[in-house]
Formats: sequence, structure tokens, C-alpha cells
Amino acid sequence: MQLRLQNWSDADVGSNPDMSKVDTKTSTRATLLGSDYRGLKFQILADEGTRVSAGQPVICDRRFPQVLIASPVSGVVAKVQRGNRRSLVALQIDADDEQRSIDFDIPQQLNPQNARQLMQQAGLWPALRSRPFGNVPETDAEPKALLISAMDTQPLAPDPARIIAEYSDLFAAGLTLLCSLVEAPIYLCKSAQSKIDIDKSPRLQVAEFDGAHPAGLVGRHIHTLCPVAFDGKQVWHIGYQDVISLGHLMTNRSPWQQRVVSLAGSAVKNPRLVRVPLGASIADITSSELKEGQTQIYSGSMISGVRVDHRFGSLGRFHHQLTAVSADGFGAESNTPAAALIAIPELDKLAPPGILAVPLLRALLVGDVERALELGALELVEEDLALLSYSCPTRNDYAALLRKMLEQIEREGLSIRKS
Amino acid sequence: MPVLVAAVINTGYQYLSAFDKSLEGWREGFIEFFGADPLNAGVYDILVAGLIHVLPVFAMAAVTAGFCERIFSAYRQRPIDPGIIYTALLFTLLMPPGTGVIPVVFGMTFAMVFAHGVFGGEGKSFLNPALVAVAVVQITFPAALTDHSVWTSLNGYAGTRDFAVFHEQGVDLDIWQTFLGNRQGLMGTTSILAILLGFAFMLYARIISWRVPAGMLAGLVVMTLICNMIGGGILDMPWYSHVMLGSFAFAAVFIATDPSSSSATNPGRWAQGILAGVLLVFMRVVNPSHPDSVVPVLLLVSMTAPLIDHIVIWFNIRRRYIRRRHHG
Repeated sequence: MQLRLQNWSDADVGSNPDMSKVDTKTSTRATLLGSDYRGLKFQILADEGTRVSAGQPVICDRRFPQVLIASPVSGVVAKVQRGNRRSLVALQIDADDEQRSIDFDIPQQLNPQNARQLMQQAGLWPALRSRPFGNVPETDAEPKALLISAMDTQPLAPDPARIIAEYSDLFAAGLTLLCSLVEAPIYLCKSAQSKIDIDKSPRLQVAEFDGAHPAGLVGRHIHTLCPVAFDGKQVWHIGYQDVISLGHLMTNRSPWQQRVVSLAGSAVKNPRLVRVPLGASIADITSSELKEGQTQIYSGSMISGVRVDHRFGSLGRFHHQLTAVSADGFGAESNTPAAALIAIPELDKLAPPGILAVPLLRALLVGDVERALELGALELVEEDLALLSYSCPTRNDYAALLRKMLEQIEREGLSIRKS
Repeated sequence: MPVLVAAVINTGYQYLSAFDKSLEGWREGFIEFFGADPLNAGVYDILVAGLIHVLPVFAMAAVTAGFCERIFSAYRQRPIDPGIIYTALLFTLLMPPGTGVIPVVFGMTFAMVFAHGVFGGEGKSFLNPALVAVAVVQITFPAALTDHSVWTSLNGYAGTRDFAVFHEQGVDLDIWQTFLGNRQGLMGTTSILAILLGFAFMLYARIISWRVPAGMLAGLVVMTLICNMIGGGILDMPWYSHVMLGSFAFAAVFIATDPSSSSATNPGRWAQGILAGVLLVFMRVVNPSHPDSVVPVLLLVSMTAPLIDHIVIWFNIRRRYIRRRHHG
């Protein structure tokens, strides 16, 4: 399957990372960010000062206690930062020198029940995300399809095929687990240019996509392969590095607690791939890596990433890149933003497929939930609109507006009127 | 706005239409002052003669627009929007050479207040202010526009001369001369070549959508072919003459594509363009007192933009609803 999408030339944000080898960097602190686990009601299992091992659950969901979030390192819970209405902002774990970790029992014969149980026990259930809304799926939900995202078209992103090649055995083992997890069709979404060797399996279909960003967004793949019907049906998706983590669990009885990310951007001395612990602190990753001068650091890409503080920030759960750009260069907000949303044709070009960009953005701006629903807001999450915020002269943060609206839709249980 | 580049090229060609007329009045004084020889014209003479016609109109339009915008921005406590220069420029290019001070100031003031300021400025009006200004001038000062000696007007016809000639005699035009811009007409609209250059530039800069001009061309060609089938008089005018004559090309590229007064969806842009093309030919052939018709047609079509968008949105919602039923 091939499909060609409009090319989008990204601005000069620095050279592509060197992908020939992967350096390992350590971090003294691992942070779990509440914003990475959407749809959970957090209950802290390990309070400040508790000694935890790698793989030990530290957070669970209040409604579904089987959904666990595990500590990626062995260490001591240093800080639990709470937000509004008992939400969780961040949970920080200071790593110690010991390498305590928990081993899990791997069932001999996998079936949907014990595969689910295994993922939940090992704290890997939140690696799955569902559309609409982008939440962690409920424990008893069944998806209409499961997409494995092995394509990344964000500027300066690592090449998934390169990383999968390095961990090919683990990736294959992870795929085996996923194949027994759900009965729905499973798609491996990859770039048409890249080569990923996997064993042929009747359960697994390979979908190839072509083009520059935003061709790699999972929202586009869902739209092409299995448009969500939004009457209770969901589509799940999982990233390629989480599949590797699942494979590590299958073969080594413990999840893979590291990520290979690209460290790149115009302020990075030596753009390359680095292997870092999950939730590593920005300060540890970037120490002695940045050029002199003011820098702006994003966990994720320039387009859809999160601006993080270089001292206290940490790498997001689903981010496969860290972008550091000179603050006086790209992204400097020099011009005044345009006063009104002007329907430049660029917006239509960059809009998600099947979405009328300007009418949807107008509905978001004025907070018209009903119209936004009708125009397909449920097909989207933040990253699908990031490119529009990025190129709209008004500099409105449409991604944030969309999330606010999605939260309202979820809270009030709104649905599309029959017209 | 980068369109200025195209406009400069455009005015460059415009000088040609200004030089070989009988010269008297203050403009001619300037021409003598700069030492240009109107009878034995070279490049320099043409430049001077052309600038003396273009610059005063543009200066007056820009000053008037700036004045109005200044008042509105002070009242609204917003920064002054540099887009008004572009509005003034478009307006200037849609004026005939030798327009007087009063029409320019009056038209620009009216447009800046009632088609720009009262709606909240750039991007919020539903009509293009430059177009409104031109319409107001055409309605209020029909004589002033054809008064100047540069115009060789034929009795009974307003607007560009080529149409009048076609109505009277049915002569066809010299395509190559028209393409370059060596003809009488509104200041910025004569040279198809310069307009195409401007079009290419704006497409490259990703400011405008090509769908509106393409739709307009398609609508114009189809409607003209229908007229040709009926035949007789102006109905026989071939489609390429319709494209070349009057201000069709200029308006299709610079006016109809204005993002704030045109449709905001791609199917809408096509629909709007086709509607404009069809209406334009229709008005040109059935109404000899409006030989050009570009201004009224575009005003009309701008007003339909929200309706067209509404229909496009309705189809989009319906398609989503049907998909939901099938996949559900």
C-alpha cells in the first residue's frame, strides 16, 4: 500500500543527526510526567522517600487498578508534584547505584487474557494509546485496529528502521506479543523508503506511506487504514520503541527502560543518536552537548514538541527526539502575530486529510464545540494540528485549543448530532 | 507585500500608453522639468511620463488609506496594519491613468471606512477594500475617469476602449501587443505578461491559491464557448480576447484571490472562481454599458463566499455522517 502526501519543506533547524552509531548517556533522575498518561486518574503507590526497583509500579489508575506505571530506574522517589484537582504533574525518581529490577513471569502460551495481564503488570499498558482523545485504553476495551507506528517524519527525527534494525530480535518478539493481544487487524506503518525486516505473519499487515511531514503522523495512517467511526469504537496505536520494550519483556523478563533518541538542532554541537533512560532529565542529556549562547530546548520536534526547561525538564514518554535550537535564530518571535485568521492556502495543504482547515480552526477559536465535532475534531489529537499552529500567521496554539475542546467533549459526553 | 514587484513591472509597461497623446497641464510641466521629450520618446521619457501618472494616484491613495487606518488603529489600540499599502496599490492599479485627486481620496476613504475599518481591519472584511474603492469611484465619478486626454473614449461606452471598439466594429486585437500590455486600459491591468509574472511570484511565496484563477478561467472559457455557439455581435468574441481584454487577468490574480474576501475551502475556491468566470462573460455580453464588468462581478462573488463555504461545510459534515453509519 502506498500513498503520496504533499511534500513539506522544513525550515533550517540544524543538520540531521548522525545515525551511524548510538552513544549511551546516563541520567541521575527519571521523571514520569502526568501529561504523558492521558485519561488516567492517578493514585500514587510509592510516596516520596520510598525505595523502588526498576519495573516496580509507582502509580496506578484509581478506577482500573490493573493499569500500572512502573519506575524506569532503581532509586528513591524524590518528589511527587501534584497539580489541580489531584492531577499529577510529575513524579521524580533519583537513581541509585544499585541495579535492582523486577522480573516478570512470561506465560508459555500467549492468549489475549494473559498478554493483557502481562502488559499491565509490567507497566507497559500505557504504551498503548487510543483514538479518539488519545487516552490510555481502558483495560477491557477492544480496538477496531491496532497500528504500530514505525515511521517518523518530524524534522530531525531518528530513523525508526535504523533503530529497529539494531533491536530486530526484540522488535520481532514484541510483535508476537501484540499479535496475541488483540483480535483486530494489526498494521505496521512504515515509510516506503525504509526497509524493516519482519517475519511474515497473517495477523500483521504492512502499510507503507510516502512523503515528508506530516505523512508520518499516526492520525494520517488511521485516516487511511481505518477511519474511526466514533460511536464507541476505538483504534489503538503504539510506537516502535514500545514494541522493542515489549520484546525485551518477552525475552529478558523485564521491560526495556531506555529509549534511543536523536539529539539534534542548530544549538547541538554533534547531532547524533543517543541511548538514554526513559524519562531522563534534559540537563543530563544535554550536558556538554550544546553550543554557547541562549538555547531553546524541545522534548520532541520543533513542530509538535514541548518546550522544556534545560535544568528541570525531562524527556517525554513518547518523544523520540530532543531538539535544541539557538534562541536568537529559529523560533524567535519577532513579528507581531496577525490579527485575524486569514485563509491562506497553506493551511489547507497542511491540514489532516478530510478536514476543512479554516472552518475547523474558526470553530476552535470561537469555542464552538458542536461545529468542531461535526468537522471532525474527534479524528484529531494535538500533534495533528501542530503544523497548522506552526504555519498560521496568527500564531494561535490550535493544539491547546483542540485539547481543551476534546476534554469538554469527553467530560460532557457530547456526540455528533444526526443531521 | 511582495506583490509590489509585479506591480512595478506592470506600471513599467503602462508608460507606453501614456506618451503619445497631446500633452497639457501640470503633468506635462513635470515631464518638461525632467527633460523628457514626449514627441521623440525613448526609455527614459517613457519612464518619466509613466511615473508622473502612476505616482500621484498611488501617493494620494496611500496617504488617504494611512490616515483612515491611523484613526481606526488609535481607536482600537492596535498597531497600524502595513497591508493598507497593498490595498492602496491595488486601487491605484485599477484606476485609469490621469485620475483626479477627488475621486481617489473619496473612493479610498469610503473603502477604508466601510469595507475595512468598521469590520475590524485586515482579514475581517468580507469585501476587498480596493475593489470597493474602485466601485465607488466608478459609480460616483463616471465622467472623471474618462475625461483625461489619455483616453480616446468612444461615445456611449464606459470603461476600456478595446471593448468599445469590439462593440462598434468587431475588430479583433493584436494578441502579442495585448499580452505585453501595449494598449489602453486601467493602469495595472494591461500587461498580461506582467500579471503572469506577479502570479508566479505570489504562488511561489504561497500567498494565494491557484484554484480561484483556474476556476475563473474555466468558467470564462465554458461560458464564452456557449456564447460563441449562439453567435452574433459581441457573442462571437473568442475566449482568449475575453481573457486578454479589460481587467480580467489582473482581477483574477490579484483581487479574486484575496483570502479574506474569498472562500476559505478548496472546493469553495473552485466554485467561486467558476461562478465569477461565468458571470463575467454573461455581464460582458448582455450589458454593453458595462463592457469590462470585472468590478461588479467580483463584488457579487465575494458576497457569495460565505454561502459557498457553508455548502462545502455541509457536504463535509454529511460525508462524515455517512461514513459513521457505514463503519458503525
